[in-house]
Amino acid sequence: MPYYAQIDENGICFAVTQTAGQIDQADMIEIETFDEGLLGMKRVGDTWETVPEPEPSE
Amino acid sequence: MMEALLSFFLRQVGLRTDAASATGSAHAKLAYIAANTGIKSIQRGVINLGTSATSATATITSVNTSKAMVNFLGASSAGALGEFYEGSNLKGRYSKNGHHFVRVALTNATTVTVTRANANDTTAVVSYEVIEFY
Repeated sequence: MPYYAQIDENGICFAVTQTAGQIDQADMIEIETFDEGLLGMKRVGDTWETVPEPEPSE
Repeated sequence: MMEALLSFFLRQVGLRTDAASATGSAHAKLAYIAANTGIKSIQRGVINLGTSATSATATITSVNTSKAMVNFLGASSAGALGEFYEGSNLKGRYSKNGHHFVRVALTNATTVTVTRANANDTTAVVSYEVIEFY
């Protein structure tokens, strides 16, 4: 069963999913393992980059 | 007479090689039941609710919503503190809540949605699974 990292309009990964079959969708990036560490990371080209967390607003 | 009766029973029972069928011989029906009973698929995932997000959706492979269920497998989130002031003086801190408490729904055949009441500038990671039955 394939694994996907789903990205938002800014390329930020907000979901990791093990699906029952292939999904052909631009915002679904196929990955090799169920890697939760990708959550919050940014897709740049074929790589993932860490995004600094924003300062909390009070 | 006996041969006709035996032939009748053999036709009803069928052969082990009979193809699965809901209307065929007993062997065919058993093969049909075995192939169409129980769990069809399981999909699992995590969804990240960003610091300002109160809902998010993830895409899954299409399921029959009348034969599928979603299980909430838990959520994790850091605490969040609020502060109250009198003028410019910090008078105290309080624990914010609402961002921990999430709901998970199978919105449609290909979408899982998580929601929460408050974001509180705090992320939450929600884990779920979708089980589809035959």
